[in-house]
Amino acid sequence: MKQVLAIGLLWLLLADYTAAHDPGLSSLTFQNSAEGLTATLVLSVADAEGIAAIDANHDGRVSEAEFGAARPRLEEALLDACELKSGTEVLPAISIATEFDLADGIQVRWLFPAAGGEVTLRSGMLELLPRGHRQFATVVDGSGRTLQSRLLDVKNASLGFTLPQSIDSAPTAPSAVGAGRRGPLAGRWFGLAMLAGLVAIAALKIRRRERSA
Amino acid sequence: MVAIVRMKHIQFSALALLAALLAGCGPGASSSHSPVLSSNQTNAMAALKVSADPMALVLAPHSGDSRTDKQIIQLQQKLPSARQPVPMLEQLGWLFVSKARESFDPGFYTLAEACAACIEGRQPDANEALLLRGHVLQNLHRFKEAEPLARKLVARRGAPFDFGLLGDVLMEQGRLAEAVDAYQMMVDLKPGPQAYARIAHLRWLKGDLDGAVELMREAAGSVSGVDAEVSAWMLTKLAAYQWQQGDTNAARQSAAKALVLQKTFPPTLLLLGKMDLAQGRTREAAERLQLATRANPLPEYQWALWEALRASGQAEAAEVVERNLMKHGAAEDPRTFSLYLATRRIEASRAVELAEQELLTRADVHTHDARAWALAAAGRWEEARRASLSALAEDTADPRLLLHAGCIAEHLGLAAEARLQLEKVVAAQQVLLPSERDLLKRSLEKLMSATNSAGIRASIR
Repeated sequence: MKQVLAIGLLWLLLADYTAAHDPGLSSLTFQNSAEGLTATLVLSVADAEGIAAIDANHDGRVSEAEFGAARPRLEEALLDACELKSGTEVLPAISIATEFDLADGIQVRWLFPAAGGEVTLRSGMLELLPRGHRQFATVVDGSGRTLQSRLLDVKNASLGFTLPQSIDSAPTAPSAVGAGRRGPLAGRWFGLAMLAGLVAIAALKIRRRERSA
Repeated sequence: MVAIVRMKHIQFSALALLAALLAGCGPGASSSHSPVLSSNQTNAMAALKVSADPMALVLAPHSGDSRTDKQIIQLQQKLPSARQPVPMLEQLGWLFVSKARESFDPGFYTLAEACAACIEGRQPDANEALLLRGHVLQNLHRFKEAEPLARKLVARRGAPFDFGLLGDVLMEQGRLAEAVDAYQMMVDLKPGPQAYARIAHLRWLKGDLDGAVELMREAAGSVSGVDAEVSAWMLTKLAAYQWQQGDTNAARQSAAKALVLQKTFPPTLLLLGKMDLAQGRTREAAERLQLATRANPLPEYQWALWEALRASGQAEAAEVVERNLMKHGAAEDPRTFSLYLATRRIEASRAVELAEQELLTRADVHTHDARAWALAAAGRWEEARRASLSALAEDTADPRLLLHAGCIAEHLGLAAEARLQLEKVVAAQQVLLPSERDLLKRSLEKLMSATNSAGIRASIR
């Protein structure tokens, strides 16, 4: 142990050689919900700044207004940065939305169509982030229980997992992250869900009426 | 006992100490630079909720075949059932540090920092965690954050490595007089390669090249054979000093010894590539630098490779390297990237911004030099001159730094000063990159036409 310690400390002088500015850390959580498949990225503002210049006035702080102005660029840059495959079929993201929080950094949420079976997630955004960046990827079920996790980096940017053919998880409430750009299908999915809800309510009412009769 | 700063510098050290005392209201408090993103917006560990469970990061499956990889995997397997996890976490943290330098992948420092967080979770404020975290912060160039941790360790237990960490963070912040004191304590408590290597670097910073060679040779000779990479690094540093002295044969010999220990060690390949380039062996230089850059794609490496590719007539390959440098340089190493931009006279305002941001965390002579050179590129010559004087404050005999100072003085018509600096550069011009040697030549020509000096004419030849 002492040897490991001594060797490690010998390299304190190496700041010039490694020139290691903080490579950063982010999290990517993948969840199968009633809405579809969602991937949620949380990354620091500094890392997001490297993807789309956000701090417009270069004062060292990102404000809500600056984030609002940069949001379209950030979403554009990240839209295809989370790649999902079901078997060999590429599942394009239905929508992307971003949210800014001074304390927690930036949250990005992709919505994919529902899928089952063998699924592969590839984090293409690691190529946009600083060398050495690590991303803690987690697959959770509808109740938030971790099914699988892996630390991704640019050389190991994929995570494979199996999803049940039908969604067996409890539906989750719609995310608070909803202010961002939505793809053309998003409205249709929302409309279909609303229609299904109305049909279900109508069916329940009819059944109650029949019972009371 | 090893004296850090040798006799000829004692008078200067006293002045430096006085300057450091006065510095409390000086450059560190400057408000003329634009701030970088505030700490909670830059520090991923602090900003992200993912760090709420650092153990998940520490135990995330690791792969690899090296000795370090195997040790990491072994500890990860033992940790979950360990009755006393702190010693294991400490050891794992240092193994991640080893892995970071072995692979030139700074991402492993994130994992080492997570180990420190795990220790703190079990033993708040533990010395083991402070030292590990301090070391990580130092390597991630978060010097100001590392300083209080080092001071706490020094006050609490004062072990040699604690003084080493303190000296390192002070040195990087340009507080050399204080760093001297810390290193002196370190070497008094535990003479050895760790202390010698640091003192050699400090001597070089103070302009004592012969003293640096002497002590780095001592350091390289006294390190145990346990870590070949550490020996290779010390031999490479020694070779760099010898090359600057003009002893190319000795430098090549030291570098060859380093390559025996680590046959593709990127710092050694970088140095040898530069030496090849200086000797006109452009093809060999390009090949070596390709290899080095592949392993460690920092701006310093890419810049040298770009020069070698251009010099060897591989213009298209050079363009590819430059595109990559322009894309990632600012994030990888803003200071060197700023120097690159300023030397190429492109995006001068960006170069200034990067240097000024770096100065907020790393106010040493090299960052003052980067700012001076960027300001010169932006045409702000008077400001450049003031920054250049800060860069010269420690008498550092770095040819690049002196070249910039000389060029700035020449542009401002300060012929005597320009001549003084540029003649020092001429004596060690082999260590400059081709574009910098062209710059030296042009400045000397301008100076010669202004002063008609026979000595300068001889230098150009």
